[in-house]
Amino acid sequence: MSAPAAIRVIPVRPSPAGAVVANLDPGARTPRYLDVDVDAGAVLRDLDIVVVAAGSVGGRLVALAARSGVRSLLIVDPDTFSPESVLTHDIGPEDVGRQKASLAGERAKAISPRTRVVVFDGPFEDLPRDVLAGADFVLLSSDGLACEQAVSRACTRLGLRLLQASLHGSTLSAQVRSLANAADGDGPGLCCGYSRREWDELDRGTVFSCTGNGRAPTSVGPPTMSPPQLCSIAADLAFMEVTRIALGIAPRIASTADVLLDYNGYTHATTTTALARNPHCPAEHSRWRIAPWPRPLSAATLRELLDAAGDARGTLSVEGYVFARRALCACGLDSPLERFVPDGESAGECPACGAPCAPHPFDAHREAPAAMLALLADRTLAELGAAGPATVLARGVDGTAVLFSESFAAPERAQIARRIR
Amino acid sequence: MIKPTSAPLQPPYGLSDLRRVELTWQQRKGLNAANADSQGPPEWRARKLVEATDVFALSQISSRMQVLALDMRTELKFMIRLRCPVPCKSPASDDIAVAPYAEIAIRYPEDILRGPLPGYALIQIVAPRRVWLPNSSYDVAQRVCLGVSIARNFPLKEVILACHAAMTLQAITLDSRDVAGLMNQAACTWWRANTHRIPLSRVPFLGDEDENRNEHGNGEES
Repeated sequence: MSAPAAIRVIPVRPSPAGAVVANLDPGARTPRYLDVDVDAGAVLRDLDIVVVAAGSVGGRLVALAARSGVRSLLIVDPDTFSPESVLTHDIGPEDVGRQKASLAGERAKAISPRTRVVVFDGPFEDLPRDVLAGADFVLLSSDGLACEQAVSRACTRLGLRLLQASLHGSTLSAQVRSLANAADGDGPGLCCGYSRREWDELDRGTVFSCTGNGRAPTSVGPPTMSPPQLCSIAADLAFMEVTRIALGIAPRIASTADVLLDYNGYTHATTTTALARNPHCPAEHSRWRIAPWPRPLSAATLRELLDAAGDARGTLSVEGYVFARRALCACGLDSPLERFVPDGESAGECPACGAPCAPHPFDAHREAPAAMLALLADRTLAELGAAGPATVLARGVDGTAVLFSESFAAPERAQIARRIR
Repeated sequence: MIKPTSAPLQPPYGLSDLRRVELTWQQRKGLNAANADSQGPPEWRARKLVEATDVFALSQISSRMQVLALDMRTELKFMIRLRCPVPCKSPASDDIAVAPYAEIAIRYPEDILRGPLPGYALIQIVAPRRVWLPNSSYDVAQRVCLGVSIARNFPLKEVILACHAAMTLQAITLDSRDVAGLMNQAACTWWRANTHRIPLSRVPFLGDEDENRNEHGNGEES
C-alpha cells in the first residue's frame, strides 16, 4: 500500500530569472476595462482559487491563474503525465512520468512568486472536508465522474462557486458550467444534469482497490479524445468566466446564476443556457454552515460542540475518526471501549491477549448520535481519543449541518498544510 | 435477538415477493423501535425502512439467516447470523476447520444512494475468527469484499445473498491477480490447491432444508 499523498507548499526557487519576475509590476499588462470602476488587477490578485485536475485543461487554468497573480492556488491531481500527454498538454517529453499537480504548481510559482501555491498529488476525495472553505472559485476539469460528483458535493456544502470546463472532441465542443451555489441552497449541482447513461457510467466505471485501504476510487474508461486547441479554448472560456464574475463584467444576474456556456468549433457559435436544480437528482445538495472554532478542536467537549450547533439531539462526526463503543480482537474477545478511534487504525490492545483490536463493526459510528454520547458529554475530544481532528460536523435532526473548523479563519492555507502533514 | 417465525415460509415466496411477507410481531416491534430513532434526510429514512423490512422478510423465507440486531440511527446496520459452513484456519495449522455459522455485521451507509462504494465497505465477519476465504481479509477486521465496487442503490438483500455465496465458496476468486474481491492471497493459493473442497455447500440461500447436504467442506455427498 502506498502512503497517502501530502499537501505541499511550493517554495520560491531562487534564480536570476526568478528575481526578474519577482520584481515585475503584476499589473503591467492589465487593461482598464470598459465600465469597470475597480482596480481589475487588484481584484484578481485577491482571489483564492482551487484547480481540480491539472491536465490539458487544468494545467492551462493554473497558468492563467498564475499570470493573473492570484493570491493563492490549490492544485489537486493524483495523476502523472503519460507519453500521450505530450500530444495535448503544455509539456515536453522530459515531463513524462511527473506528477501533474506538482509540475503545474512549480510552473505557477515560477510565473507568480507572490502567489501561495499549494499542491496535492492525490485524489480530491482524500482532502480534508474544510480545505476548500474560503476559496473564491473552484475550477474543475476532471473527466472522472466520481471526482466530479465529489467536487460538486463539496462546493454545494461549502457554498463555493464552481466552474467546470469540459470537452466533446468529436463535435469540437467546449463547455463551461458555472454553478453559483448561492446562499439559498436551491441551485443545481453537476449531477443534476446527468443522464441515465452517465449514472450507469458512474456505477460501472468506478473501481476501488480491494486492498481495503479506503482510498478514493479510480475511474476506468477511454481517454478523452480532444485536440489541444479545444482544451485550451475550454480553459480560456472558464478563466474568462472567472474574470467576468470577479470584476462584475457579467450582467448582475449572471454573477449569481447557474449557467452553461457552450462553444462549438464547427460554427464558432457560443450559447448560454440557464441551469436549474433537478428535483429527481439523487445527489446530495445539503448546505453546511461553516463555524470557525477559536481554539483547538481537540480541547472542545462534546457538549460545547452540540450546544454550538444548536441541536442537542443531532449527531457528531469527527473527521478521520470513528466512535467505537466496543472493540473486537482476533482472539474473539469483545470488550467495551467508548472512545474515538482513528479511521482504519487499531482500537488498542486486547486486554486478554495483547494483540491489536479493531472497532466492533456494529458499534463503530462515523456519525455518533448525541444520545449515545450523553454520558461522555463533558469530556473533550482529546480525552476521548480524538487528539487532532481537522473538523467536526454536527448534523441536526432537521437536516441542518454545521462544520466546525479551527483552520478556516486562518489567513494562510499553509496552516492547513502544516496540519495535514 | 429479533426472532423469526418458527419455520421459514415455503415457496412461492422468493426475493421478488418480499413485500408480501408478513413480519412477525417481534420483528415489527424491533423494526418500529429502531425506526423511531432513525435520523437523516427523509429519503434516506424511508430507504432505511424499506431495506430493513426486506431483510426481516428475507429472514422469514430463508432458514439460513437470523437477524440478531438492528440500528437505524445514522447508517443502517444489521448483525446477522448466517447458517452456513465457514472455513477457518489458524496460522499454525495446514488444514481448515469448518464452523457451522457466521455472525456478520452489515453497514449500509447513506452514500449508497449517491454512487458506487468499495466492495469491502459493507460487510465484516464478527464470528468465527480467522476465517479463511480469498474474499475475506485475514486480520482482525475480517472485511468481506464482494467485488471491485458495489453499485449505487444496490439492495441490501442482494448484499446478504452475495455474502452467503462468498462464505460457502459458491462464488470464489481464485485468480490471485484479480482485483475483483481478493482480500487474502494466501487463502486464494490454498483454495486453488484444494478445489475439490469447493463449494463448502451447494445449498442455495433460499433452499429447502431437505437439500441440506454436502456441508462438510470436503466436496463429498453425505
